[in-house]
Amino acid sequence: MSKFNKIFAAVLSIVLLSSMFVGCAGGKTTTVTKTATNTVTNTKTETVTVTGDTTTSTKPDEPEVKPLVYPYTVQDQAGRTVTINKKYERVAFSSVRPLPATYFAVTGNIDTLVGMNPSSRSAALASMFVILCPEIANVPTNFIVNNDTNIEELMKLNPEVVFCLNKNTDEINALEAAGITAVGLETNGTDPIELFAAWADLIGQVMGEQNRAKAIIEESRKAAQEVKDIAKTITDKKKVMFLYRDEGGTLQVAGSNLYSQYWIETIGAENVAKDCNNVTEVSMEQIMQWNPEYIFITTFTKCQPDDLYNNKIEGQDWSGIKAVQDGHVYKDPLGIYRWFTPTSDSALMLKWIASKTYPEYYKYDMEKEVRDYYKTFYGYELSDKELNMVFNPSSDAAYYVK
Amino acid sequence: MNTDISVNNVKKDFKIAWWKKAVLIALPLLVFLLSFCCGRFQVAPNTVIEILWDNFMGLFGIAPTGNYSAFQESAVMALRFPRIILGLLVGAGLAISGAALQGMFGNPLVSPQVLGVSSGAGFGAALAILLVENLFLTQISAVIMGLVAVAVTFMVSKVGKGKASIYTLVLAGTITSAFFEALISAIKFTADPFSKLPTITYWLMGSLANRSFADVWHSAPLIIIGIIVLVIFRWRINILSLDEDEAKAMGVNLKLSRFIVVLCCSVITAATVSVCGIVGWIGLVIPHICRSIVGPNHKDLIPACIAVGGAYLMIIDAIARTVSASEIPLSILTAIIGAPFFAYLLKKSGGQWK
Amino acid sequence: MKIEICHGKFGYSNERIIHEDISFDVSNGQILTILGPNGIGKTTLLKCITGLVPWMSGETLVDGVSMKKMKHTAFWKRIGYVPQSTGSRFAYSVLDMVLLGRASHMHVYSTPSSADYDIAMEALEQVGIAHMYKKPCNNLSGGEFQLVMVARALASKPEIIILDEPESHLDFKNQMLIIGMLEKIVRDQGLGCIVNTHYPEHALRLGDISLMLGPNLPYLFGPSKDVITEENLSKYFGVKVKMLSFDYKDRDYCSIIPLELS
Repeated sequence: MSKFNKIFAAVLSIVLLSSMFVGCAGGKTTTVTKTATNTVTNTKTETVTVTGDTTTSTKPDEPEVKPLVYPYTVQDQAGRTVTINKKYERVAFSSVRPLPATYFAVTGNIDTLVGMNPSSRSAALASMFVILCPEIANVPTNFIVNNDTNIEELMKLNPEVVFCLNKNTDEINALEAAGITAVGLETNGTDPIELFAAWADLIGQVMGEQNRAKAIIEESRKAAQEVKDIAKTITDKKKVMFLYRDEGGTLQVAGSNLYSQYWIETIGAENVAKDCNNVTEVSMEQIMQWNPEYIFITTFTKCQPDDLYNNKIEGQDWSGIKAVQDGHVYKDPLGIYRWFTPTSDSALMLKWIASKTYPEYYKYDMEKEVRDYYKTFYGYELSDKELNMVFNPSSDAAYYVK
Repeated sequence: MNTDISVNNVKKDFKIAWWKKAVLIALPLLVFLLSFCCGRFQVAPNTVIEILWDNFMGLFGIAPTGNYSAFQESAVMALRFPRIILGLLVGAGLAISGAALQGMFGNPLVSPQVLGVSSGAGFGAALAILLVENLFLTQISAVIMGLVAVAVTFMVSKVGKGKASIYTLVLAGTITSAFFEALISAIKFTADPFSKLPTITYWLMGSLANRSFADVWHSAPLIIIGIIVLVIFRWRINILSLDEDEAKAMGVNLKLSRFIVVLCCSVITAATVSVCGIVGWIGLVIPHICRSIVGPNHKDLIPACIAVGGAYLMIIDAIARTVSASEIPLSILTAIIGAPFFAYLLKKSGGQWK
Repeated sequence: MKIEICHGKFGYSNERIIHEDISFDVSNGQILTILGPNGIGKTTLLKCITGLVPWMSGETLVDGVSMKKMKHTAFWKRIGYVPQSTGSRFAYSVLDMVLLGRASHMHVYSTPSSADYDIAMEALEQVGIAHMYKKPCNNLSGGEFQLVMVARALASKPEIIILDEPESHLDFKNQMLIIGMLEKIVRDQGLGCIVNTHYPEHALRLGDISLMLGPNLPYLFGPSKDVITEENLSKYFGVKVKMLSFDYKDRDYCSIIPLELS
């Protein structure tokens, strides 16, 4: 054999041998065919089988009745069966920005959070999250560089379980190789309520705490059903547009195959940008052609309704747009995270956008709704100033504060 | 040997056919006017004419007479007009730069990107988008870094006793381009992947979306001055394409001439990048098209490039903003149309370029 | 007009000196032929004379004025230069190529005028290729293009024209043509001429004065008849020759026949 062939054969053998060891490292699982009963009615049950007892209480502040039996398995959103070995005390989130806020909603605290994505951190610092949990500012983020996870830096934080995007197979494999439990989550989806429900449910399963998750999921689905029922009675489809970004010469709208489609269609309206896929750059002329009656500006951009009302943006003329003429331009509120995406505030987002677009059909007192919701699910009483911050987020929220 | 050739006939022989001249003048004008009718917002052609007429008459203080909404007027005058002007200027500027550089280097594969201007300007713009998100600063940054890149190319190309030959200039340009492209990649790497990175990427692909008259005032003077100088200088570019010794023997100050040509092309290219990003395949292909129409003499080639290049980009931008709800980046269209057309030209000419 | 080289010295480095202390002069009405074996530096010498390459020491004087003190354009208005040609890769027409020779007489911002077209066609006629004026240069043979370059140099109406081996690539007839043309313009228009040539016969025929260069040998400058002798050719070229003279139409001709390597 030539020298090259010898080296190649040696390397190949080493690789094969080591993969055998990795393969054997998985623990044994005892499969008990007990499925958790979901006492919440009218729900789409997730295909999560938990082999172990779980509590059936739905009140968020009741203590669990029986301790969980470890180990048990859950199905994550990457099609994997994940083994839960213990009650985790060190948790990290490497991708999927709204997750830390969801995690807080599900577990009630961030004591066990040891690391998160820097974009989540800057979003937290600009939203209600930092007010609810001031310690969020101290959670380390340096293991993420340019949205890539540096496994060794992450290991320094000693996490026991890491939640990441289900498509990052390299990361998941690396985590498994390092002996860290990895849980993959999905971000594709047009139904933010159900996507949030899936996240909350999965996090709850993994952390062995499902009470709060169940409660918020039930509330979200209740709101969705309520809105859908009313929407059935609406016959005039109003033309609504989500202005995703408008600054520095960039003009983007949120089309279909994105959460925007759900927010708009569920309340009985029509997304003028439905022919656009995801987030796309459009010209002012296109917006003039659509002539939306309602415009919602996301908190991903500095742009505020005043910029449109006063026609301050160079190269754009909003004065003839119906939404501007009728005064129906609104900035998305900023609660525990940006309301455009799936969050634990999604029930509120649905009610809010419904009440803005069709006030004659949806008669929600949004201030009361938000106050009550935050008291019930986050255990926090919002002051008037804080409530104002939720409904009038500053432009700084769009920026990624380092 | 026939020595009876009348010189008058000779000069006539070399004049471009009258019909070709007519087409070259009419084409950009026609495209200019037709472009006003293209866009996502429906405005009927006769309404467009009314709007244009009223605005034209308005220059002389005559009151408008047409029947159209302020909205329609806004679409035509505030949204389309700046884009059409910029399309004309950018297309003409890039085409003329490509022709001049191809002439100067005596190489048909040269484009305005050869000296690193586009990469430098792209870097300047990306840097500005990363640090501040202000359109005017982005444009200034692009122009400055574009010119810095050319200066770097010149410095790198000086080998030996301070002589920059054509070959070292091209090599230095390649090095500079690669360097600034690497810097652009570094910026993309550090940019926030959810907001800045998509903005930078989209911007680098070239677009005239949301351009206003302010952008026209920012870039037009640079482009127009560059074009005027190159037009005045156009016949001399023939001499620059010869060997160094031959060119010098014609009494041309080679160093100064090359400097002027490069400066004009760089200023024009940097200004175009500042206002609409990097648009390729114009500086490369349009000169070849024009050569097949008017011949390789730069006396005729340069003006032809203005007409054809300007018309071309106006058409491309009309497509970019009309064909779909989402704006299509310009460089995608110029590449999709330009590359196959270039292949066709190659086959037709049998490899004979100049 | 008189071009004078005074103690010119040139080399690519201090180790490689090509021309050591060379002096000669040529005025209009005269033809100076330069001979020497390959690689001796004939082309380099022409470049030094015209300033395309600077002398290490010594200088070129034009009518007593140092060339360095002259303006670039002023110099090239009076001197025409025809380098060796390997054909053209450009598709400029022959006339357009010749018109480029008018550059030193034109403003920077001008394009050629009718007068310029006249002069260019005249130059083409002098060289005998006026009928080809529309042909693209890259369709010409090496020899035809050489004629175009001569025409281009003539178009600038120089007082002295410098040619680097113009007969190379030319067929028998065109060689005669070039030689005859050079004789004619010198005689009729009083131009001066500096010609590099590989053909001692041409040198003798043209020759008023000649310069002969040889490896490690002192340069010879003087009337052609004195410089180009059997002895010198043997010494400087390493070839033993026989020179035979005869009369034709009241004119002396000399034939040089190579016999063997010496």
